[in-house]
Amino acid sequence: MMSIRWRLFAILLVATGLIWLSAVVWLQYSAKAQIERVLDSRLAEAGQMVSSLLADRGLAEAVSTDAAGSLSLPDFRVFEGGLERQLHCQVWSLRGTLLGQSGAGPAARLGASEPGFSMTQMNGDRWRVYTVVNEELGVEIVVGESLAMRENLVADVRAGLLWPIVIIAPLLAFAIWLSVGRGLLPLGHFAAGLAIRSDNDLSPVATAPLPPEMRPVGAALNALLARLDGARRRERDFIAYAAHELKTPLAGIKTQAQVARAAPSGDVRRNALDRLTGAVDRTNRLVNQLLELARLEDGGADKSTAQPLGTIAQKVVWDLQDLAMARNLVVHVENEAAGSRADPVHLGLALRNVVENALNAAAAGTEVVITLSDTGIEVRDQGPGIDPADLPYVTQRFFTGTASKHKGSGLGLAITAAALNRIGWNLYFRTNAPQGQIVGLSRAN
Amino acid sequence: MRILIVEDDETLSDGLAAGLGLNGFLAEVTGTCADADMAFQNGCFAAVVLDVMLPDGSGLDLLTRWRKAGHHIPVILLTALDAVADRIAGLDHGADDYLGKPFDLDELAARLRAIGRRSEGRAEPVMRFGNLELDPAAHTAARGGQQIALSRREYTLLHALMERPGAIIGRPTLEDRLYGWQDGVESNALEVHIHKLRAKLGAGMIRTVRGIGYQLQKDAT
Repeated sequence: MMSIRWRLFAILLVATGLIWLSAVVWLQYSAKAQIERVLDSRLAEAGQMVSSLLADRGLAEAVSTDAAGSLSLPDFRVFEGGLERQLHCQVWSLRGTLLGQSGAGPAARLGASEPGFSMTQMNGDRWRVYTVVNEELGVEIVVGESLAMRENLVADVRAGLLWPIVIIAPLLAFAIWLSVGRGLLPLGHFAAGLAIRSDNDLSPVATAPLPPEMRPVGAALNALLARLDGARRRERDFIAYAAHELKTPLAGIKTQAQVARAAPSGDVRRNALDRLTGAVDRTNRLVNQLLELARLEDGGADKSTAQPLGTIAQKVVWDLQDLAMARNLVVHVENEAAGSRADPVHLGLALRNVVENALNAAAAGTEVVITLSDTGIEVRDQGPGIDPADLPYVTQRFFTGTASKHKGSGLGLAITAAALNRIGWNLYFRTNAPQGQIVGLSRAN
Repeated sequence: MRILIVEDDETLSDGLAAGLGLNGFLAEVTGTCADADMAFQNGCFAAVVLDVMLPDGSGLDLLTRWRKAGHHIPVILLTALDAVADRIAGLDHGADDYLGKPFDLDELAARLRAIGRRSEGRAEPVMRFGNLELDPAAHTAARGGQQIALSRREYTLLHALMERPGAIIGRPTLEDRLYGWQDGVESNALEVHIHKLRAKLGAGMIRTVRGIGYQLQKDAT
């Protein structure tokens, strides 16, 4: 893209030039029209003047008695604004004899014999002619003026307008160039201020020194910086949590392995090895969850063919049978024949994490109910429920409720939310009466 | 040495308690900042092994509170974030040492012994009193160059007595060191172990101060 400075410069220069040029054209035409009007009336006046001079009795006698039969008229010399303007006058008899003419005029007849204005061509010159017919005297008075004179006058006017442009235009261009540059100076400072920032500096830029036109840019940039900062902080938190969640079980495994090796008694060794196995299982599950999450966020999982909700729910229940039995809980699917279908991979993953949470939270001996409907799935348990203060954060990765007794990875609902998001479903939470939690998975409309 | 372990991961804290026990320490385990704070105020610990990320807050904040309250207890931080900047932040919060997860159990034990030495103002790894030597790293005792075989409890008792040689160590302190709070202590259990220790070291080395405790003394015999 063209630089703003060049663009503004070009636009201003062209616009100024066009305005000036149209002024010149307009002035030239109006000056020409005025000049023609004034000079035409002067021409007519001159014709009438000669005619009335001839009508004067004494002069008429002189004309008729002149032996030579020729009349010598003085040259009309008109001085206007320093411009010399010449009129030429001829007097013809009505029979077509040249009775007389003013000085250095052409020998041939000027113009037509009709009275009034006309144009004629003579000796390569164009003439403006005014003819007066004096019937009384039997003469025609023809007054003419070379058009070149008029054109010179107009050209002078035009030159008078154009010269200042030629002289002033470079000055104007220079002034425009400078002022545009000056006007864009805050932009330059702004850019320079951004350029010298360190990679880690996401603090807002100062918008106060910016001109009002650029403040929205500064504000938008600040909003972007704030979002970036938030994203980076979340990323940093995620890394810290992920490191903690992965390395702590590793530390546990290593410590237990070292205990097992150094254990003096079989009991201590067996306990350490049991703990070690459990820790490996838990870590494996965490790694699987992280991989699921990464795949979901990456968008790598393919859409599979839709299956009835009942089939998906049954598979989840089947997968979690061991956990339900270990906690002495019953999982019950209601309205299993609901006609609705959905993507089994994503919905299955989402539902599995919700049901698993319910199984971990539910009071022993109670029931976890999965209700299917055309609009979605609801999972109810009779556990302590989610602390309302925690609700906004439950889908954040690695968030484990501050009061929660069961220590999960904090990834379950994050996976659920991500999986539902992939298939365009929503997640919602309600309180179960008299106690417990309802987690809903609903098809977006 | 009695150690307070603040770690919420059960596998790790259980392993630490067992492993440090095998290394001759007595470890108490807590899993939250609140429990840790309570245990710290109640018990007398030689050192704290503190996890940075705890379910109810940051271990660093807890450490800052302790330091502000004027506690000088040595603290080793355990954390998953062991980049240089994190180590610096940890040490600047008042930690004495820093271990990145996963760590080596023996290294943690060695660092705890080093911390113990520093807090006792002792440069030599081996503790000496007269011709009695105690090696906390190897858990061995020797008298006049002669190795003495000690059980774990006997070793713990001797270690406690040798930390401040010549001083009278109260009964509660010794019982604390032997059992922590969870085990029920039989009234004469301490006497039993002292008796066994006397049999191995020679009767004159441990003097009973009636109603107060025990004191290590230069062998009269």
